[in-house]
Amino acid sequence: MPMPGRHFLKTTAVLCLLSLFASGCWDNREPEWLASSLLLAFDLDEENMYKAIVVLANPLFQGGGDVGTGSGGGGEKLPFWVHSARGRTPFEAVLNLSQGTSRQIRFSHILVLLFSERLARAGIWPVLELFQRHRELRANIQTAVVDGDLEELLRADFPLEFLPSTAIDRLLRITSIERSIIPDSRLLTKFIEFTRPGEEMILARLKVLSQEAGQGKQGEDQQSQGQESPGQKHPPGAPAEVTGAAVFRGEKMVGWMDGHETRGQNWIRNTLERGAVIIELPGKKGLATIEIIKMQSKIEPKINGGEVMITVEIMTEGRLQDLVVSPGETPRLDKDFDQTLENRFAESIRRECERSFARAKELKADIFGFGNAIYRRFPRLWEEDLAGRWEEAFCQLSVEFLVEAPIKRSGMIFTSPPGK
Amino acid sequence: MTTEKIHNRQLVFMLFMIRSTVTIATLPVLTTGTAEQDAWLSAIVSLPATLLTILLIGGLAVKFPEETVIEYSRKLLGKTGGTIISFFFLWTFLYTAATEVRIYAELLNTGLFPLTPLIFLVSSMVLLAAVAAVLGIETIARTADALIFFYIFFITASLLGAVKAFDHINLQPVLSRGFGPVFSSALTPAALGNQSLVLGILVPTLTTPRKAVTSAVLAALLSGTVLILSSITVVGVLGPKIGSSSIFPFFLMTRAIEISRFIERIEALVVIAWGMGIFINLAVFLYCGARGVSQIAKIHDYRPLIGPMAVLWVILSVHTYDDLLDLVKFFQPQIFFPYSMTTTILPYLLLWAAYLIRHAGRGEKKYIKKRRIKPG
Repeated sequence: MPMPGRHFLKTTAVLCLLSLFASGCWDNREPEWLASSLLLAFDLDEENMYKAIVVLANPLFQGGGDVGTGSGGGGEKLPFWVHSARGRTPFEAVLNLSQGTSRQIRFSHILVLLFSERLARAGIWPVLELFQRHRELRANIQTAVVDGDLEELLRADFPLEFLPSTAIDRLLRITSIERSIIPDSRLLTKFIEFTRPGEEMILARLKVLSQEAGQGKQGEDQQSQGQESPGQKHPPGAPAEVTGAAVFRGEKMVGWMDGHETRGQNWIRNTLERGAVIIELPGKKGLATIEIIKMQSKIEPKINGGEVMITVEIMTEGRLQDLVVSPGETPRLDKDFDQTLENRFAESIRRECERSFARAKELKADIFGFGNAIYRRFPRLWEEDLAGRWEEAFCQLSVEFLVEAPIKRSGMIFTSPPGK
Repeated sequence: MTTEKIHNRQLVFMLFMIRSTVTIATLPVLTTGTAEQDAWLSAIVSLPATLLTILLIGGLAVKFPEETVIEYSRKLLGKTGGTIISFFFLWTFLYTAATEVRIYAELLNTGLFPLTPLIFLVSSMVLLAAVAAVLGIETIARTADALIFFYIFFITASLLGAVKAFDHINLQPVLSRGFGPVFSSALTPAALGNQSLVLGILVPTLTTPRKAVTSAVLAALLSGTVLILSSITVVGVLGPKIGSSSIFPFFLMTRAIEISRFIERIEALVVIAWGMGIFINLAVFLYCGARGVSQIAKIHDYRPLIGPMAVLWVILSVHTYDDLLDLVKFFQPQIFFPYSMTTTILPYLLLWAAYLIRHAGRGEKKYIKKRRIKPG
């Protein structure tokens, strides 16, 4: 076949010529001209302008060594820089960031998206929308609402991390695994919660702690008094903690929930990972800590005489972690006592769920997705009747919590060894 | 002119890639109708329609195992009628491929290269396909052989990566609004069966033409499976509302998932797989288009036609649609379904009618010669 052969030569020649252009694409962005943003936060100022705050990783920062001492001599650079700009839309605010930045900002490595309380109360959907539309922003990141001063939080020094972005990212992930006192903090699930019928958004709450207060708590130990330099500060306390949640109705935040109430929400929605329940021993003899090992829950809607009812079935398994009793009064750990503990464990879980439900009713926000469960089971009923008036119907909804909570293991020891 | 032969297996691979690429591109079951969480049902519903289209096109093709649709349409409808009908098919080859390369270029422009001119993206892809088409259908088929492994691997990896973020609640309630929305979403995917028109040109090049229908059905079943799995996964991860309001749902889904703390951002896999699919797609359509034109114009070799056709292709691709919204509108069921009916199904019904009238009394033996040619 002579034809393909000749053509092949020609095309190869063309391709070789084309490769001249490929020596560097013409829109090249050299790394030296770029700065990566790791955290994006949005606030709303007094004139209702969006304010974008970004944490930029400083490419000039030399990691390792003696950062804490920060002598400030010569070209010593901080590991990150917090920069902010305003705009009428979230995207304009983000664009305006470049006015004060000497490098082009890249947004593809963002770990965390934060909202100020003020913006959350005004509505966060414009920002969430931007995160779906923009080609560098994506949904596989963590998100939270900040309770306190946003900029103070971002400028704070997290003792174990160089960057506040990493710190907040890890704080959110670790807390939700270890304690379950915050709701699911992935941005993707927030998109879904917002778009699902009969379900409201719930974001984690990031509480800013005053650094001074932290120092005060730890200030009285003698070690630091013995030290000579007056400039040497006490080790600071934690600059922030995550606990509780911001509850939304539609795109607007309507109130806070504390850690217990949020965990109640996690019980109901089957998003609880780990945690501990403290129960009182019978006869007020002491306290016991039960760690939650496994957990499964299910929302079951049913129609009972024209009324919609919800049953929440919670199946969990506990493990006795400690027993705070005076050594003389150690209870015998027999089947009976175990039964009592189990009853109290289940009762404690039920109360937590009810507390959470009561708070949600107070805020008129169905964060559990009860409405969604009804929509899934009885779509007709939902479309024709409930969809339009779910807010009030939710407040009159009766929910039954069925908890099954065996305590199957008690750690390394069977019962407390008796004291003398 | 040497006769080129491709194996039936290669036809399966090519048809599979051509059809699945549409799935990972715009996922029409989710983006065109109103099925939302029932998109996977639409995918199932559209499958029999696709199979019918294949029977219609492939069934006639195996009756003329040594001729292309251009040749036997002249036999069946006379010279003028056959030529007019052939233009419908040639138009579909030209237009489908131009549209698909445009969608790919739009994705690259939206998601990855915002400043690169559209014409550059389109023409580089068409140039690649043109080189392949000049080298012949054997070369294209062997490329499909080589790429199919990566293609399947990348798609499987993106679907498996989504398992962690998958939430079955997003798929409920099932059929809450009856079958109406399900059918509305099934129309465009069913109409996309017009891609099977390539059978009309490719069947004579097969080593076993009488099994062409079996091969095409196999390819349709495989790509149907990909379509069903993808629609379940995308809806399960993104939810029906976000999924159906996105332009490239599969791409958006892979952007949103995180396999582990260290493996994320797997959307590159999708774009690569898509690129492979588009390459095969374009090369096959360009080949079929050029073969068709050469037979109508009675040109001995189709190869000299490919250069000019490729240029036309680029221009059509860039100028047919002003913007992405035009593209989205074109695939709406009320436009695309009638379009595909007129350009594909109606001409074939006409051909079938002519065939049945001409051969009703005489029996079918005349054109069916069972034969087997060893692969060249």
